[in-house]
Amino acid sequence: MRLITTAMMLWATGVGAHEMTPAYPELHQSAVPSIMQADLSLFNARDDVEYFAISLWDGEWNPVSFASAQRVMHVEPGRRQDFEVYIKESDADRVVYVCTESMIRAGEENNAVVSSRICSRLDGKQA
Amino acid sequence: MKHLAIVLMAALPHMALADGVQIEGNVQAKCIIRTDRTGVYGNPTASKLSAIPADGGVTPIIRFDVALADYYVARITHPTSFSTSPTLTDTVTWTGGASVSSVSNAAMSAYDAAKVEYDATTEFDLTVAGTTWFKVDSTAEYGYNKAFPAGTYRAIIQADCIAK
Repeated sequence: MRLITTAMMLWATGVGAHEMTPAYPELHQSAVPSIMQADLSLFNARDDVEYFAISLWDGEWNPVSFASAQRVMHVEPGRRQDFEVYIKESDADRVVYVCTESMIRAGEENNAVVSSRICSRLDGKQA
Repeated sequence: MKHLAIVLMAALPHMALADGVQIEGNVQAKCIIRTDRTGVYGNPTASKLSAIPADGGVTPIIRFDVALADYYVARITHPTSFSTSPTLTDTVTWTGGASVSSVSNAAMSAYDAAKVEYDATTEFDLTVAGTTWFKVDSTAEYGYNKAFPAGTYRAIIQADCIAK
C-alpha cells in the first residue's frame, strides 16, 4: 500500500500551447464542383504532443463527414501547420464547428495526459 | 543653395529605401490553451487519490489566452476515469471541478460567479480579452473505503476553447 503513496501524475511534465486560427473561417468553393473548402492553421507549442485530430460538427455536436489531406496531422512542437477541410455543398448549412484536438499516444508513460481542443465556427457568426 | 540641392538629392534614395521597410501585424480572434502547471495525485488515505493540496496533491493549472473579448467559451472537464491504472475491480467515484485561479484583468474575476456546471464539465464565458488561469480539482475514491492497488494512475482533463 505504501507504494501507492508515491505521488501519481495527473499531468506529466509537458507544458505548452495549442492554437488554431481563424476563429471564423470562411467556407468557399473548392476546385471541385459541389465541394466547399475552409482554410485553417494550427500552431503547436506543446512539447508533449505531436498529433492533432481534425473533426467537424453540427450545432448539436453531431459529427459531419468531411475530407482532408490528413485527419490526424503530425505537427512537431514549435511548428505551424496550414490545413484545409472539404465538405459537401449540401452540408454547408449544417456544419458549425471545426475542431482540432491533441492526441496522446497510448502507452507512453511519460507523456502528458492533457487533452486540448480548439473549435472554430464555420457558420460565420457569433451565437 | 547648390549645396542644399545636392544634399536633398543624396537623401532621396535613402528616404525611398526607408519607405519600403514595413512591419505588418494582424489582430484577430484566437484562443490558445496552455498547460501551466502539471498536476499530481496525492494519496491521503488508502482509498483516495486527490489533486487537492490539502490531500498532498498538486492542482493542475490550465491557462486560456484570448486575443479579443467575447469570442470564445472555455469548457473544462475533470476526469471521470483513469487512462492508466492497475486493474480495478470496484467502482471509482469521481468528483472535481474547475475555478478561476488567476486573471490578467480584474473583470475576469466575475467568471467564477457566472460559470455553468453540468456533468463533469465547467463552462466559462470568456468575455474579457487576456489571460485566465483555471485550476482543476480532481478526486477519485475507490469502492467503499477499499484500498487502491499499487501502481501508476493517470487521468485526462479535457480543456476546450470553442468559438461562440
